[in-house]
Amino acid sequence: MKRLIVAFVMIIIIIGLTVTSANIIDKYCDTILTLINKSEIAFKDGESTDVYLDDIEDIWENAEPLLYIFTNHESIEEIGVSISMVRAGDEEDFLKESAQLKEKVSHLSISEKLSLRSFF
Amino acid sequence: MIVTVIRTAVVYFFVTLAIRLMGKRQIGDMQPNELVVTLLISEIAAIPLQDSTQPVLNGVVAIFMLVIIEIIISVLAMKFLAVRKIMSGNSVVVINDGIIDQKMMKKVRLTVIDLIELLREQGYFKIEEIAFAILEVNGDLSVIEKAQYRPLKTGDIENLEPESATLPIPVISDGVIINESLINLNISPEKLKKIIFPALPQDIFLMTLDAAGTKEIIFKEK
Repeated sequence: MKRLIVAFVMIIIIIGLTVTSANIIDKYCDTILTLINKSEIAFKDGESTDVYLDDIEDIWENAEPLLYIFTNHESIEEIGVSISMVRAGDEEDFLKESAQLKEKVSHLSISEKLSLRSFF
Repeated sequence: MIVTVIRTAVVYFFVTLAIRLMGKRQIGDMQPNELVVTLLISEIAAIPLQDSTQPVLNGVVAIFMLVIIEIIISVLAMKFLAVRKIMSGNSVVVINDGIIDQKMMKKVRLTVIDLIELLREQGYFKIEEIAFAILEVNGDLSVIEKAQYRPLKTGDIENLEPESATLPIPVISDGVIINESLINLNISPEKLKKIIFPALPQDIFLMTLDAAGTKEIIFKEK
C-alpha cells in the first residue's frame, strides 16, 4: 500500500512537471514566433525591426535558464545563435535568418507536444 | 568537468532511490519484467552522464516512470494471478516423480545439458537422486530429492527433541549499540552493558543476541 501511495505521488509530480514544461515551452515559443512574424512584417514594410528583435532577445534571455531544465541543450543553443544571426546579419539575409529562427523555435515547440512525430 | 561531477551525483542518488522504491527483489532474483526495468534504468541513467546536452530531468522522469509502472504491475500481480502469469509466466516441473518430462523441457527450450548444469549448481550430480525438479520463472531450478537420498534431519530421529530455533539479532555493530534491536529483544542499554561487562560497546566489532539470551561477541582488532 505504501509503495502504491509513493507511486501515486510520483505520478502527480511527473504530471505537474510535464504540464509545467509544456506550458513554459509553449509560452516562450509562441511569444517569440509572434515577435518574429511582426518583425518580418515590419521588415517587408520598410520599418525598423529593432524593437521586435530587442524584445526577442530579452524574452530569450529569461527563457533560456528555464528551457535548459526541460529540453535538449543543443536546440536551445542553436536558437540563441540564430537570434544573434538575425540581429547581426545583413538586411539581405534578414528574412532567411528569421525563417531559420522560426523553424528552430517551431521545432522546439512541436517536439515537446503530444504527436505521432514526437512518439516515433 | 564540474557539471559531470554534479550530474553523476544527482543521477546516482535518483537511481538508488528508484531501486529502493522498487523493493528488495530487484537486488536478488528477478522476474522478467523486473529485469527489463533494471536494464532500462541503467541505460537511461547513463544518457545524461555521457551527454551533457541532455537535461538531467528527462532522465530522472524516465527512471521514475519505469518505477511507477513496475510498482503498479507488481501490485496488480500480487492481487491478480492472471497478471502475474502474463508478466512472469509459470514455474514448470521438468522432473516429475523421478522421470524427466521431455515434452515440457522442449516447451521451455531447456536442453538436457542445461538441466544437468542447473542440477550441478544445486549440488546434485546424479539425476536418479532427484524426485522433482521445478524450473522457476527466474531460471532457477528448485529440487526435491528422493527420500533415500535426502539428508537426515533432526525430526527424522525418534525421541530427539531439538532446541527451538531463535534468531540472533545484531545489537552492537562496529562499536555502536543498535537501539532498535534492544527494543525488539526488550533489553535496556544498561542491561546490555552489564552483559558485556567488563568490555565496553566501543571495544566490540559485532555482538549478536537472541531471545534465549545466547550471545556471540567479536571484539575489534587492536
